[in-house]
Amino acid sequence: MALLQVINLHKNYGERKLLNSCSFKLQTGEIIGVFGRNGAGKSTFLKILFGTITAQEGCIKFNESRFPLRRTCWDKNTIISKGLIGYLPQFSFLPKAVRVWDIIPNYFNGEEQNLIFTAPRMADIAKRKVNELSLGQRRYLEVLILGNLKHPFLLLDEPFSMVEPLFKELIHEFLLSLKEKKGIIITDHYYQDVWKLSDRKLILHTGKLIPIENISDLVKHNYILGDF
Amino acid sequence: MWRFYKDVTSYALLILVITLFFGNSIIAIVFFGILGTPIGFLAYNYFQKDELYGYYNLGYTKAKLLAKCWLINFILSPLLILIVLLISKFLSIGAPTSY
Repeated sequence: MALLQVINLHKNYGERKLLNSCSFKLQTGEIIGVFGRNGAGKSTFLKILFGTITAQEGCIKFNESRFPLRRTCWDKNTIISKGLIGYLPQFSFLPKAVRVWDIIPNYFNGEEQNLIFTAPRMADIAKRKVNELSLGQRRYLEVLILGNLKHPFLLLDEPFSMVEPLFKELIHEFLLSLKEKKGIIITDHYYQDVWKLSDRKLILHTGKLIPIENISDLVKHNYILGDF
Repeated sequence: MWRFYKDVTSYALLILVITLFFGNSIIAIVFFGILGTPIGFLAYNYFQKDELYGYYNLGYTKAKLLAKCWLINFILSPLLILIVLLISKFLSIGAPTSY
């Protein structure tokens, strides 16, 4: 079992404190849902953990190894180079004009490619170019690729965005199957999907990561209206 | 990694073709070997930035991708110069001499 700890994360944009002393723990076998309004800093938070955005202060611990967060763009990105975290960005990262079956060998060798090719609904997806796929198919493919890579932790930024119910179900099933061997953080405005999947819930509100228990806490923190 | 190399180098080759119009071929290839990759990477970063996340997830940092790509093109450029010199020599052998 692996443990990821984020300690005292601070991120400012000028005078604005976007993330203020954020700390949490995530272990493999667990899914954490992170909620928050637009501009609350959810994507920034995930990108800081992945190392593509710098932070003013904070560090990450993987089991007993400590990694300071990148303070400047010249700092080495150990999170990426050590393959500790996988990250699904909000946007599609797959090359548009390439057929799916030509992309998979870039990520997996030999038999491992079957993990993707034999997944549900992949027979139709595999022979098409990425720009011919629907948003839902593209998102499903991206989640499949990242989920089958060997990172012990996975950060998913809007995995359900613009995804039709059929593919949502497939993504739900796949993420639950991944939970055995990975620790996952999900953030998405399709909050019911995130709520259903996550074991623990946090809301990012005024720069703080606050644990929540009930859906009424989302109302309390002005994320949704009371009449849900 | 090779897809990244191919994409960045195709921008760098475009720059090589443009510089060929302004100077001689040797200078253009030296320019390609030294500055072609960084300029190609700037173009990649502008047009295909999102795709970098695929490489990040495979463990390649931006610095590592750029360094590998630059090194390959830097090593290739003397070979390109040699090929250009050989071609120009072969072409000059067959050319008529003027009196």
